[in-house]
Amino acid sequence: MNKFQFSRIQLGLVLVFGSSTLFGQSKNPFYMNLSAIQEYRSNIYRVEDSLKTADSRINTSLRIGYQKSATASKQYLNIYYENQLKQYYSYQIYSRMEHVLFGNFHVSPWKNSQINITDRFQFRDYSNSEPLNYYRNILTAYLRQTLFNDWQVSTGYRHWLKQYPNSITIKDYSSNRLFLTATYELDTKTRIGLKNEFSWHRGNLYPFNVSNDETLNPIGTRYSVELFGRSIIQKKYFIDLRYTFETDRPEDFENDEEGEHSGDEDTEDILAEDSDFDYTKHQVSSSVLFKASNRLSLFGFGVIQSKHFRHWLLVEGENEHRRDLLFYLSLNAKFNFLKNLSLDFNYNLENNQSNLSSFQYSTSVVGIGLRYRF
Amino acid sequence: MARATNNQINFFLHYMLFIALAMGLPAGITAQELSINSLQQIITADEDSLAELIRKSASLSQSLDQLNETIFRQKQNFKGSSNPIKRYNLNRNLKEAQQIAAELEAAGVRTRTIRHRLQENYHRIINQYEATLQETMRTTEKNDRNRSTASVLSLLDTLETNKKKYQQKLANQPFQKSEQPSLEIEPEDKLERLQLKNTLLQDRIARLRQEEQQLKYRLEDFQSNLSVYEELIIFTDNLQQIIDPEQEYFDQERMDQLKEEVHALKANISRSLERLQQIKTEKKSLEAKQAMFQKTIQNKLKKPKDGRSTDYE
Repeated sequence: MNKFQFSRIQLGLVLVFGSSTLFGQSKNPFYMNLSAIQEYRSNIYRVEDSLKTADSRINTSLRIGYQKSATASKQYLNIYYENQLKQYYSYQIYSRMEHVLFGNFHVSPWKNSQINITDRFQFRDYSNSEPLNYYRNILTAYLRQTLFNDWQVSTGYRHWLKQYPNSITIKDYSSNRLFLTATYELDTKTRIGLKNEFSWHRGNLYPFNVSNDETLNPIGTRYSVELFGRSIIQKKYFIDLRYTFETDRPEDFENDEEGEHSGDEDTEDILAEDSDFDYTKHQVSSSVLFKASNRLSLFGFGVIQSKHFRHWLLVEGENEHRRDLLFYLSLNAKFNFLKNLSLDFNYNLENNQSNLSSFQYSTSVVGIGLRYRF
Repeated sequence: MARATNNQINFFLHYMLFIALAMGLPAGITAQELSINSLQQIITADEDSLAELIRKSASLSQSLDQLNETIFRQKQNFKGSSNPIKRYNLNRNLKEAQQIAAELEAAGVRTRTIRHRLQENYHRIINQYEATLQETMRTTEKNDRNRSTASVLSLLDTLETNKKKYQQKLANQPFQKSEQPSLEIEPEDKLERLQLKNTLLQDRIARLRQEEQQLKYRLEDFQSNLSVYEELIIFTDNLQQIIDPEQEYFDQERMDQLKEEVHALKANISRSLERLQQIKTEKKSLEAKQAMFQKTIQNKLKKPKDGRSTDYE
């Protein structure tokens, strides 16, 4: 542990105790969450089995927030700052600190409607590997309207921005998304719905999966449709099931050096080897909650995702394209000792099957720790 | 001669009235009459809205009663069953009952607002009539103290009648009294009347018990949903620390919806608990009163046998 990290932990502890003294009183709009989870990760790089490296890390987080709602005017405000420290034991170069600023505000300007604005800013700070530092901002604003008591329709806009301030080569990512969601309440416990999203995106969300000319900024459009349903069953069980179809089309290139655009017939070929472009995706995800007792709750979350890259050839000249099948499973248990203190267990498995062997990987995480909310 | 004099007087008073109205004798009166007209329009509109709301509330109340009976039956039949169709029907009816209860509550709030506004406007229009009456009398006296005509009397009579009409309406407004007639033991009450009042009390208590039962069902539903959603928010929040947002397995809207549902459930629980407390207090008071009625009725029934007089408490 270096001096820099140690001083941060100290600062964190001072914040914890200082804030608990200040805000630890109940019935006030301030709140604080604190957690310390010890994890073992079997494959920290998400690479092929022959190359994988295991390590343990400790995750601590501290969230200090302010939450206020006014029932009469139907206004709600929630803001918080969260500090997350993820500290590896052997590969300290990947140890990092995350600073998250979150704000959510909603108001009902007229009957049966709501305007909701959320912003989440996150800064990832690698003290030992500065070019990997990035900040990301996600701004979401939507209008929700309730129709005929049972229907809710949301129309919204979301903006993503991701920048690597210490890197010369990694391009910024940005996307503008428009979405429309319709939800139908079947009864007091069941909702079904449909979500459509159309987006324009520029740059790479995952810049390390790119093998293009670094002077080119790819631009694409993406459309996704999601069908979902969720229900509470017999007071103790909750289930959420979703199916998503997504398709991405490369549209254009912007040349950083010359400032030119070229959306010619080569576009798809140039983007052929880019994980963020030119694919179709089918995804099924599900969450299941079981509230076994007042003290014990179990939660599972799973994803099966199939991704077909339309022009990413396995071998030059042959007609077989890259296809991935991702499987993700998260199993969680929470045991409440006291009203606000819980012991958490967590197991995650992520497995990607790909016909391109360099993208095959499997990684699992086991975690145990304490969470305190007050 | 007398007929000629009367004709002259009539003519004079008509003339006076015409002058009064045309020349603005009564600029004030005209202004007040305009104001009275506006108030009448507002009052008529509010009375119509109130009548419509009362009709709507009665219809909603009837639907809620029927639905509550259905829910009660379904709850009885549902015990131990895991039939998803039965569960869906029960939850669907609970949802409808919640919606009707919310509509009924909103109609109640609107009814009280309109009644309050009507009360104010009745007072206002009565005062306007009173002021107009005074002004008419004063102006007539000022212009010709010794004369009076049928027209003026007719005008005064109309003003007085209208004033009384609104006074009567004001007196009939239920907000001045209790929404339901009070059921007290009066010294002059005979046995039949006491028994009738006792039956009314029993009916009121039975209705309160039914409302209490239905409210408990809804409360139970709200609380079970709340505990699940709260737990879900905690797990989803924890998972968002593990899974990077870039995976896009969750979006913010999903979390917002859960939080809104928690918020709405908490508000519903708070309202239901408040109403349950009111019902409990009201029921206790009515039960105590009913016990008193029964004692008095028993005493009345015993009276012919032992000849003792009945003591009213």
